[in-house]
Amino acid sequence: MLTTGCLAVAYALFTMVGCFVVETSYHRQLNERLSYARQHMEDDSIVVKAFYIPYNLDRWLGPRSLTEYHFIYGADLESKTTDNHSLMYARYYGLPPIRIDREADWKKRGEE
Amino acid sequence: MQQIERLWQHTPWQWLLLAFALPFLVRNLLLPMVADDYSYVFIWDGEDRGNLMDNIGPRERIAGFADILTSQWSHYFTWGGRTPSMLCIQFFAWVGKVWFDIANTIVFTLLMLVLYWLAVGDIVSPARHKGVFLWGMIGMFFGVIDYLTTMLWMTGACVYLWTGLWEYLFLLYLIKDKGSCALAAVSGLLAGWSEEAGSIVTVILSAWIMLVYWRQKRLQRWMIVGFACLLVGCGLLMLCPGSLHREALMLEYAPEYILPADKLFSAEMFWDNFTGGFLPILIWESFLFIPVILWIRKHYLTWQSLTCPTVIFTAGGLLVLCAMMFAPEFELRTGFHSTLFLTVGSAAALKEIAPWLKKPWSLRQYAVP
Repeated sequence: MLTTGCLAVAYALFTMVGCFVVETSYHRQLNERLSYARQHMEDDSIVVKAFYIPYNLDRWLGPRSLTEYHFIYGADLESKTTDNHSLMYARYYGLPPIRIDREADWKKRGEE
Repeated sequence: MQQIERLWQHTPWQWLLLAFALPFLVRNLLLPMVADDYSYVFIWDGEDRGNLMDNIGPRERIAGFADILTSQWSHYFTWGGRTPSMLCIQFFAWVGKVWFDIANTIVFTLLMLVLYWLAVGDIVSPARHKGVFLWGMIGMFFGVIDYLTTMLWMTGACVYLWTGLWEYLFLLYLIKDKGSCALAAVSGLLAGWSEEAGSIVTVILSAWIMLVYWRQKRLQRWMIVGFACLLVGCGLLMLCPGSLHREALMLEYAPEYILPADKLFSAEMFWDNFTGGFLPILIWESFLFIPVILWIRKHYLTWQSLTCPTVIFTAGGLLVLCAMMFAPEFELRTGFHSTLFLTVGSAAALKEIAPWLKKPWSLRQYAVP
């Protein structure tokens, strides 16, 4: 019982710390992206690096914090400047058209 | 062991709450606006496919509360019926994320308290059942499968966490001995006009509670008023004209992202929902069943136990999953209300079996295999 309790507490602490590591990294990446985008305001369009999860922590934390699924769902921009998340992000910050540097799309229904 | 017990005895319940609320606030502050949050900064233009589709034209920023009302009027008739939560989203998108971060933390704190009060069946200090209070918070932290989307992301939190609190508050209000028609009406309307699966199950659980009261001759007029408004809210949510308009838009502009009509209620849909939603969520929150199983072993399920919070709210948790099986798509985030109700049932069970758990192993009435 005590061993189980200690393992549970250790897992809880790991989870909490892991979430902070992931979300602090995300916060930093977001600020870097906005800073980069503002330096390229005169460009016709901006291509930015896609976000990443540090140390592949999403494999350990699952959807308790950010995962690749969240990036595709909207925590990252999209691969076309006219897709909604990229479009509204650019309009909110007054930026030129913006997109990420990789292909990422929703799970499409009805595909084989 | 004695040191741990002494530490536990001397730890105030406020510190336990702070241990969860403070990291929650920090995580809110770390997460900026993302995804749909940006779309809701602008007035919803229902005549030009709304704000969430690709390739849309320019939009006007929200500059005041009147703009929010105009936006939501258009949203209700062209996109969806979650108007109260959408009003919150657009309000915070207008005033700024930091205000949302503070408000969201307050909502989270209230949710933890109301969860505890529902589990113990009365509004009492968490000091009385500190273990139950802690278990509720642990249950929500580890049991919610898509924590970030449903509790931290601004749009998601308003749709799931905030509506969860409204449903909790209505159910808590219902189990009080005295109430007012006005408060019951407002509370019922908000609880019904919330999120689809949570709203339906709140209706079922409320009907269940009211049936128990009717049999016990405790049913009062304000309860009936509250339930009626709950039904009105549920109707406004489920029958909004915007849902059909949205479906038509998706069929025209993005048909590959929705379930084809001929596959609705097909074996394939049920299988996808079961493997993609029902099963993962059930497994993720399965630890919450441990106190419930122990409670059933001790009390056995009888007709009388149908009046217990353990049974009512555990059933509510499972009913959410069952309801979502009939949705065209069963996303993990929609299991939030399942965890919400199941955690209450689990905490209620823990409260009942706590005296038994404190006994030395040799003195317990039965052996657990």
